[in-house]
Amino acid sequence: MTNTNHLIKDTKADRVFKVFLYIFIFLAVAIVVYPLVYIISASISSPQSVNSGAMWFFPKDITWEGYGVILKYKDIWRGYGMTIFYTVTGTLVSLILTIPCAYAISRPDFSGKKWFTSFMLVTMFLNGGLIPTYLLIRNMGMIDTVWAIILPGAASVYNIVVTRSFFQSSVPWEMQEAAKIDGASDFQIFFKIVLPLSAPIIAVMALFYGVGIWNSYFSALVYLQNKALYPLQMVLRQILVLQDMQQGAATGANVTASAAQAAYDKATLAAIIKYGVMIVSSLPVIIVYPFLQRFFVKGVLIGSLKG
Amino acid sequence: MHLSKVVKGLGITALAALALAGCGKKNDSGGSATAKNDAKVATSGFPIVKSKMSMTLMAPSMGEAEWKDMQVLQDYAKKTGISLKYNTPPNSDFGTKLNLAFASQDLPDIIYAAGTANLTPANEVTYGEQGQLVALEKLIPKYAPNLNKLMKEDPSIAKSITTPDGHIYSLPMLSRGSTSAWYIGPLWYNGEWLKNLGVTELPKTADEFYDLLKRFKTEDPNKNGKADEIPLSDVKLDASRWWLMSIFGLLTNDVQNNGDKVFYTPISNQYKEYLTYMHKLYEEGLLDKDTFSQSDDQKKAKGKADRLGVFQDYYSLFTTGRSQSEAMSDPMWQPLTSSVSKKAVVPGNPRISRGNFAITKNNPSPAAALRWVDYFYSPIGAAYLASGPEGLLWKYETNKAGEKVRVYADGINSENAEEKRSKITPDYGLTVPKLSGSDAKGEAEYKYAIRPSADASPIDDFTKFINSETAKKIDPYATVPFPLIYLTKAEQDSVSATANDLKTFVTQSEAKFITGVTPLSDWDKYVKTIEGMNVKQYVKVYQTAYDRWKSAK
Repeated sequence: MTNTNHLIKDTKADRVFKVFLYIFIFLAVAIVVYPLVYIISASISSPQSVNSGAMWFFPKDITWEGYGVILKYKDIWRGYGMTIFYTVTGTLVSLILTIPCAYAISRPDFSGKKWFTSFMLVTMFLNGGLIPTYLLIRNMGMIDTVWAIILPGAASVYNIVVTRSFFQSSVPWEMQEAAKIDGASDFQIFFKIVLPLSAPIIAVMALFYGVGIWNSYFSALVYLQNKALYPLQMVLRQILVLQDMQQGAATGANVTASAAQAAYDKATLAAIIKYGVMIVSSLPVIIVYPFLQRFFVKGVLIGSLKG
Repeated sequence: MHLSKVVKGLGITALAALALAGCGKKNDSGGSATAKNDAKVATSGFPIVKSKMSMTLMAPSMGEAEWKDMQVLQDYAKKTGISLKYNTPPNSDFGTKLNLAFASQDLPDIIYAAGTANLTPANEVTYGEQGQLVALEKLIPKYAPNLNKLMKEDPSIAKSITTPDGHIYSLPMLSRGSTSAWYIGPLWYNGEWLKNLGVTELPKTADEFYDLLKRFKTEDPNKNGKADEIPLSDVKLDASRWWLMSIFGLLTNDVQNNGDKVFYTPISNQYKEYLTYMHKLYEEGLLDKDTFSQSDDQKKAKGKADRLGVFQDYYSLFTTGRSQSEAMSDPMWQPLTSSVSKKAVVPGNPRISRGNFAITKNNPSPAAALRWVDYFYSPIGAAYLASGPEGLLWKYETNKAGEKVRVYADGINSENAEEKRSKITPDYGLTVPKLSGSDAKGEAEYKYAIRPSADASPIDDFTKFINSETAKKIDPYATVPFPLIYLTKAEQDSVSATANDLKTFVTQSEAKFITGVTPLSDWDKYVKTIEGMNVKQYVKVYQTAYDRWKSAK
């Protein structure tokens, strides 16, 4: 669609088509960009102008108070540190489990691969449920440890299947056979032939697992008691959800002046930092994403060919 | 919806984790209903136990501080000889964690400050019958003398916390303070607007109230030259409904007892009057058009911009953002009469907040746990829980009259006292088991009040203002809509589905009638729909429960 423009004049229909094309692209971009700009603007506008609707696109009554409070909010940074730890460690553990496992079941000469694959697939459809899983984790002594966040979700069957398909389709078996004939051991084949060819799928899996762990709070909610171990999402939940509870309609409980004051103070705090924490907490993912994106599309596409 | 996804995710992981089961250590802490050590518990004085005893306590956290670091709790542990291990999930997720604890039998020894939102009356009945919660009524006379005294003085306490099987499974917070009759934060008038309009007497009838709202709308009471005034606003009416319905003699949009007769208010004639009145307000722009769509933040933003005439909040300053001294010019809403309700009435709080202290079957000594909490049911114990032992928040000084009074400790003032309190005691932002606000006269409430200086009044002007408004405008009119009852398991089963359906349908219809989406001519259809939802059975069950409550001793 480049040079042709100079050679053949657009017909009227073409031009109309183009105009609509631009309109739709503009709308699509607007839909994507507006919430982002809104949150950025809201994070540096005064809560009063955000809530009264005076701020709707560009920042109004610019204040850095929200970010100031966030900077000084120790729990947020502790949570941030824990989330980075969980994400890095968790992603590493996941990759170490996923990639070799997927490779093993991708090899045509692995006689038990059908059985192992279906054994794993079953868990995608049948599962133990929340309480039995909780009991299991408890009996394994993982409650209130970082392992309860990292290990239980470390290997995702879906991701293993995607990775397996990548190996099957993108790393020719003939090439591996050739290496074998040249005297390479299975480990050498894996590390020297397969892995170097698998950058896209590793990047994709790292992103899948990484973003998943970054955004998750439920396992922390269920398994953790010690607040020092809480990931960022859990800390944010506390700050932001608490404010919704303040009125709680009439549950019949008698609200003391002190409790009302406490709820009010929490709500005020939340109003100030609400949009700021959204940005702070999603910034790392937003920054990393463009660098991995080219692998992302490629890897999933290739992986899904034979999936 | 997202939960099922998570559960699925967990299930997937469960199998992965199985592979590792070999390395896990077996750690079975629960389930050991050991021999009770109740015999060694002292029935009065401290320490409660001679040899140290340890228990686990589960409670919602406000996130201000770790409970193990709270100095009041540390001091109390020394005093009682009972040291506690705390499991304090965030308040926002406490319900999930508590249900998980029950379902997995991973129970703490004590469940503290859960409240009926988490430890519901239905839960109490269920877990009580299953034996997961310890029945306390036999232990109370001996090991909870303070609570026992209060229960003797006010028989409605025992009636309200005893389940149909005759057992007490949880202890309440008892509120006796000057604002304890508040059902929910009151409605407030914008005092400045009243002044600008020269209004000296507050409306006493529905019609006068309407006229005033009309003036708010049309006479530019905020003097900014723009017609931006919103005479009445709320978020979904969730908070102000109770006050507005009372104009028509209704105290709730659920079952209410008229004398000993239980009736369902949303199909009554008075309720139709309420809808008609509110629809009129909405139509004429007197009730905020955003009422059913705005968030609390948005409502507050309007308050701060001086656009609201009448609004609901705990204190008016929470909405207007003004100072306490300015807020003293905002009068509390005066209960109104109408053609269907000749005598003003407002819903009143039963002043008993249930579900705040329960002892589980795992507890090594229910008697000791009971004594641990009982201290807080005495005025001095409640003050101790709220502000700790001498030296943390307050110290003793002698005033001119020669009385020993409490004043702020060094470095503490009225500005930072609450922040400091949030770090040293769990009695901050939570409904905790205790006697709140001492006796009905409020005398002892001030006996332990912390003053700015020895000769200052124990309460500030703002508190005085709130107290006098409450005494004038709520206390004389407050009536509890329906007593605190328990349903038996069978009763729960027969009404729980209906209850949900009714609640949803009634609140949805309320919004539709008020906004005019459904015309009031559809009232008969609406009543028929509700009758078709088995409301008869619903009322019957509550009548039975009411009769049971009434006849209990």
